[in-house]
Amino acid sequence: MLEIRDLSFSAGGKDGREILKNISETFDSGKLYVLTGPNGGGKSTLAKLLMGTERPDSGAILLDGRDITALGVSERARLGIGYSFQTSPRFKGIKVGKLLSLAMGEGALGEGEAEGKAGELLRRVGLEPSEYLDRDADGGLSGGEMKRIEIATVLARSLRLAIFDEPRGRHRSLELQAARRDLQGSPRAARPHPPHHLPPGAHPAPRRRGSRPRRGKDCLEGKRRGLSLRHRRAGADGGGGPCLRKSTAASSRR
Amino acid sequence: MLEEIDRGLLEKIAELHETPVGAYNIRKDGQGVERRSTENIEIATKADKPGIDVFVKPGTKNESVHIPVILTRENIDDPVYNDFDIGSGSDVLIVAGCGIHSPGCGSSRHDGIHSFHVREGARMRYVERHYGEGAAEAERILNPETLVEAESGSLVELEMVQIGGIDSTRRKTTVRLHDGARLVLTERLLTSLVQKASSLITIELVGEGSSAQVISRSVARDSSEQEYFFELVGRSECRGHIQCDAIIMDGARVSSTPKISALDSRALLVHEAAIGRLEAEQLVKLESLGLSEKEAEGAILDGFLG
Repeated sequence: MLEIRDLSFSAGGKDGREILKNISETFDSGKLYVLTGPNGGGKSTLAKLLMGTERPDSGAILLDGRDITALGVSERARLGIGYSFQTSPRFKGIKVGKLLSLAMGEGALGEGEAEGKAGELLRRVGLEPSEYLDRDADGGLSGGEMKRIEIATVLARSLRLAIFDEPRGRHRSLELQAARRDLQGSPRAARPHPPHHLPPGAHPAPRRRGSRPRRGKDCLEGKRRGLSLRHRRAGADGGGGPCLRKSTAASSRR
Repeated sequence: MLEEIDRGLLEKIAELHETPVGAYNIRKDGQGVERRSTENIEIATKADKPGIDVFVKPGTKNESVHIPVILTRENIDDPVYNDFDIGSGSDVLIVAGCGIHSPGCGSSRHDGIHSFHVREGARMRYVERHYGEGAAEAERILNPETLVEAESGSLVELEMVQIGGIDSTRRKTTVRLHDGARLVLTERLLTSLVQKASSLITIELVGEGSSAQVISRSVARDSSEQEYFFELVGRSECRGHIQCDAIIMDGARVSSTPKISALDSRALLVHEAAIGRLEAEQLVKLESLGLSEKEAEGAILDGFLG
């Protein structure tokens, strides 16, 4: 279970522009949560605060009851938090296979076994292992290929909390599939989603009457400023930790 | 006789764990200590100056020549001239390199001048590794010079790696490529502390259909300094590409000077250069996979210098 308590964050330190103000929420294990809201609404910020790439001004984050607010990215990763980045960085000279073995935790597996598992991960994201394992994870790969590899690095780990930042376009369904598979422990075919649609099971926030939050200007206060949260049960057997996705499309499109 | 220190150095520079297979010549502290010629590869001592002549018979396939140099004494200045004649149609691997172990605080210096004549249709892969270790006060200096004349249809692969511990290096590489000759040059350099390194690479694309690809990657740490000069001259219908990447850390300095000259309208020459710090996104990505900051940095640099 993931719990956030009174989380506040300002861009540029405590005296900067407020992005998040006193956010509290509880995320149950075995569920897929979708965070929606307008651009500049603080979705990415919240995701970053959970991974630890940004630190809150105040408030606390608890994973399975343990306060992780003060922990760095590496320590949180070791507790089972994973993050699929919106755009993954390129690594000159690091092979795709090596990147995946770093993700799996080097040394945990023998070389042959690691390669077999890396191949399996690539297949799961729709890439042929023989073509990719030995390629550099650098500018020679397209954005789409890199995104798939990014998802594979998240799938490689056994996680308590998986965060998918802004799944878009054709990879949205792939990420959703990955998320559900992680939650359920068994594969399920991805359903293609028309662009700008939310994944099945997630419902867009109903547009509130009256003023719509101004883009990028408003600070997020709890659920009152257009940020909304929906979840669906992953399956009867549950398993795994909560899974969080954020998506801009929701409130601004509907 | 080879001792424990010698074996350690040989392993670093030539990845040799025991006596190499094929032809070899091991030079220690200014003198040849072990040598073997084979049926197809002859190694002879030069008469007029220090060094060796290596003759590879035409058509020799899949053979190797190891010519490591090790310095284990201080106050030594060891210039050496090695000439290679790579026979037409042959396919050989040449592993050179210099390892210095400084026992005291004096300087050790090795200037290896390697000259290659790669005959028609031959394929040569040349690997050169440089490495230094021992007392911090000692000065380890390496100034290698590599000259290559690549005849028509030959393929030359040069792989030059300086993995650390060398205080001062001035590297000079000159390659001339004739009709249809191809060059793939990879350079890897790592400097730290107050080390200085410079590399001057000149490539002349003389022949029709010749091509050259240069991939230079370096990491400069602490207060070290690196300087690069690349010159590509196209004299006919040819293709040349230089890609130069440096990661700069701490208080290091790196400068890179490209020069591409097309003396024929059919020449296609490209130079790309980038100098920058380790990308924060790369570090964060690896940390999000559970690596510590130090491990992440190590993984990125290891891959980069591969």
